[in-house]
Amino acid sequence: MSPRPDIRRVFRLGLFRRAAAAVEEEFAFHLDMRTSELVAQGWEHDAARTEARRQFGDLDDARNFCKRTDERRERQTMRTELLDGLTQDVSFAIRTLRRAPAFTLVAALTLAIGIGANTAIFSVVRGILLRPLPFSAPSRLVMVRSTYRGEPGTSSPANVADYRAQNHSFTSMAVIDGHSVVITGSGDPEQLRGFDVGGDFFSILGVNALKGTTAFAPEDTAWKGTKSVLVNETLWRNRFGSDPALVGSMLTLDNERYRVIGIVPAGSAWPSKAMLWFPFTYDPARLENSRGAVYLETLARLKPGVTLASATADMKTIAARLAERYPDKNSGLGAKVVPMHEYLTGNLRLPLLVLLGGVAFVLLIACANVANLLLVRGVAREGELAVRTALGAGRGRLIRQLVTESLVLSLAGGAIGLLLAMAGTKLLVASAPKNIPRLDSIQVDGAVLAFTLVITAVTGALFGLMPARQMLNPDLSRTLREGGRGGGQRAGKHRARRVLVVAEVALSVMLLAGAGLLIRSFTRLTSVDPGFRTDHSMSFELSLPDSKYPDPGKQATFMNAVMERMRALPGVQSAGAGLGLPLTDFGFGFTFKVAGRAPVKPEDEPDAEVRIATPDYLTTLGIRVTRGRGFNRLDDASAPRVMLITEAAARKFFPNEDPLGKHVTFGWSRDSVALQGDIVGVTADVKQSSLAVATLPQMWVPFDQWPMSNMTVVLRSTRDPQGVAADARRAIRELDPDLAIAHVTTLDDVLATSVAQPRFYMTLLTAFAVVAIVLASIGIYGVIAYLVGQRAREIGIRIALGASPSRVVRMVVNEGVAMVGVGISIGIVGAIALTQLMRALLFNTKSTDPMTYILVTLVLAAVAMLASSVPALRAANVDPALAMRAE
Amino acid sequence: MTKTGSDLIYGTLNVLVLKALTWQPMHGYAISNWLRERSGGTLHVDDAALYKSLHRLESQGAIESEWGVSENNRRAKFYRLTAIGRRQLRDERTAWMEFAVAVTRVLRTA
Repeated sequence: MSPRPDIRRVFRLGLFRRAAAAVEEEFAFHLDMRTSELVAQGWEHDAARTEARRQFGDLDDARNFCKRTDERRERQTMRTELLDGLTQDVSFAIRTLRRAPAFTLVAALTLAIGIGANTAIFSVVRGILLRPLPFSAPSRLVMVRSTYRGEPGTSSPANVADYRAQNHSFTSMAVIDGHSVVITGSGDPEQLRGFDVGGDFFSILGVNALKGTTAFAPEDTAWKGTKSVLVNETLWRNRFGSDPALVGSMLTLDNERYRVIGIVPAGSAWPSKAMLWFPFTYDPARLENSRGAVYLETLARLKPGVTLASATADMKTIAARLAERYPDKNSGLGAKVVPMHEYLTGNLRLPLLVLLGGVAFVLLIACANVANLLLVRGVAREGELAVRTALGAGRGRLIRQLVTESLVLSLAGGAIGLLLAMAGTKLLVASAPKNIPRLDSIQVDGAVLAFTLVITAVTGALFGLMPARQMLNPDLSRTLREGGRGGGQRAGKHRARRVLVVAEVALSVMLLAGAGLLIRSFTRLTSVDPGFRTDHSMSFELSLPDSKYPDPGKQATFMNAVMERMRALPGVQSAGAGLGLPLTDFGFGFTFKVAGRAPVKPEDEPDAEVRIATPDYLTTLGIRVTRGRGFNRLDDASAPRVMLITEAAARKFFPNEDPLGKHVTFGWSRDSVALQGDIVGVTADVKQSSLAVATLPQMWVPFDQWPMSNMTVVLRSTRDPQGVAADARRAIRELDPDLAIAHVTTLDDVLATSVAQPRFYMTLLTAFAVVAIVLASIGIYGVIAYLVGQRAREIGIRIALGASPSRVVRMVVNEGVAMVGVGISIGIVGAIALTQLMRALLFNTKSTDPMTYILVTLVLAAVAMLASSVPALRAANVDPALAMRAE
Repeated sequence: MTKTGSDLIYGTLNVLVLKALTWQPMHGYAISNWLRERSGGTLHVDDAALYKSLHRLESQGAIESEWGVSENNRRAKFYRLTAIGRRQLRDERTAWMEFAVAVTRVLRTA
């Protein structure tokens, strides 16, 4: 009548409710026994039952007391057992791992690379895509954009005024317009990025001043009102040494005096390049004339309860109304409401997710490798496990032990990985192209740590469970009979290993295909002719304040004096100035009419980008004139107005006629003179926004006829660019001490910056692919080496029977290649499916580009050959006598 | 004069229960009967108090329980003395004896 142990175990597992039930059963048993005893003594049944209860005493009190006591005890027991078990498992796991330092090191480092890379990329994704914008209720912030013929873009002051007045969707709207500002006094002149913003701008964002206020007063936002400015904390610290008296003091900006009304905290400064914010003002008398001047971005906050869809519908209605009312300037006008977060990061979502996917593949391959290592190790441990099973360790207990081992291993990997990730994240941020937004919000924070912990745990379970199940499957009695020598002849185990290698190869193929496509796309991108020469050239921006250079004549005179000085600088071969440097995404486009052509409806008028150039600008940039002539000094304000067009413009607008001599008039005028001229020449095409975008038709007008206060100066020189820049700065200061030059850069850098993002994604994905291939080749090597080891006896016999070493090598290599072949096939199918998702990242390259897939196959086949030839050569050198004795 | 459970000094019932389990594992009903028989009916132990004592002793680790099968083939909860219980029994018995001797001595001399 000894209690059976399994009953005991079941009841130990029992939770609190079981404790209550047990007390009930115990008492019922007692009362029943007592009752039957009394009945045996001659009591009548019901009376006996009553008597038993009476003798028992206070039943309810005892019941409550016992239940409470038992519950408490159960809880206590469970807690200690769990803790004991865990401590035991962990300390056992650590001991086991320390006994195999080489295995542990390789496995932990493999995992560390996988986990570290994932954590680093995740921290980037988190910082850019997931972290909320540093404004109040940022999900309610939107950009309201005008669309022309479906293309979203900026809006005109008059249209924004109507949007503001007519919408029912936004608490407020504020325009944004960037420009450069030269600050003088209090140190060297410096060109800074300034933004004119609507009066409500900071209240829409919900950004409060560090000092002073961010709210412009009504007299600040009135036309010709008080001149006031907000200063970025960064500028305040760097230029003014955090002077607390800056708020309220006066600054000289573009030769005019502005009162500082507040300091904007750097963390909430937007646009992030902004150092100064001015109130946006517009002459009310001229507002109506501004309908065609499209240059403002518009920020707005959705009213509570208004959805993006209803705001969009509201805006579309207003835009349609404006298009109808002002067909001349608003033809084809529509509107689009874009969440601010999407506006800032929309084009980064796809590349970042592709990178995250790629790095996840690296981790999966790392898992497969470690699982493989565990399997190999498992063979050696089969004896140990069989003995422990025979001694009574349950299957569940052993699985728990093995999984604990895997988790300890993955935690070690995760810890090292986290260190790698911290360094890696810094490296990523430092090497990322500077035109990626929100780089400053990337850091290893709580969310990133949580992510690391989760993937570490998932990783441990992933690579741990499969080998654990495999290890515990074998026929134990047989293993014991074989003296624990681990006869790995069972087909199941070989299959597990092969599956892992096939999976690794397949994942590597997909990753390599993705990287290969990006490389191919990048090669095609960089082989696109930008249309201008970038070598030995540098550029900087020069902006003349309107206060000092109010009329075009003054601007032209001064700029020509500057160009004279530039040409005279030592080592400078040629110098020119222009508006809209190539590859800088400069937009200055207008509709136009060609003289002598029948008038068309306003929405059907052609449009082209306009660029302004000094006579030497085109030659300095190496832009060829293919027909007619270029600009020369005689094309000045007193001469007939002339212009040049690009080949693309000639093809598009003058397909079957000679453009030379045609007169073009643009829908943009200055001082009531429309921009116009006779076409005197045709130039080669120049890439304007990026190499990837088809060249837009473009027209050039001479600077002397259309002077501007904001120009980009380009110098061609064989000297060191920094030296030339210093000379240029000095020369300009001699002409006007209050001018600053900005954005000093070489044209090679302009070109590099324009492809920096694709280059960055390509480099990262390629790095992942390389790591993947290295890991996969280690995996292939390990498995082939293991299989050769298993077949040592067979190989020995073959050699003894006269098989040539080359035959043995071929046999072994074939085995590896066969396995890899399956992996490559699966991988290519997967790659074709997956790379579809990254089509938008590819330039002139199909996601099924055959050359890429052929190369990927060749690379992996070569890797497989290499990885299996090492063990194969070893096999060929097997001493038959030794091999046979070994078994 | 019979003493009831509530009259028993708190520790006394514990020591009696421990004593009952010295020989073999027993369920509560058997312990109840054992106490009645041994005391010749002098000590009428309230069953409610007995069970409270059993569960208290178990949570203190002096005894442990297992479910088993009773003489008449029913599931019953058997209690068994642990090493802690054995030590406790020894200590409490000594204390009880000394106490009893002291009380007896006082009563005699009075």
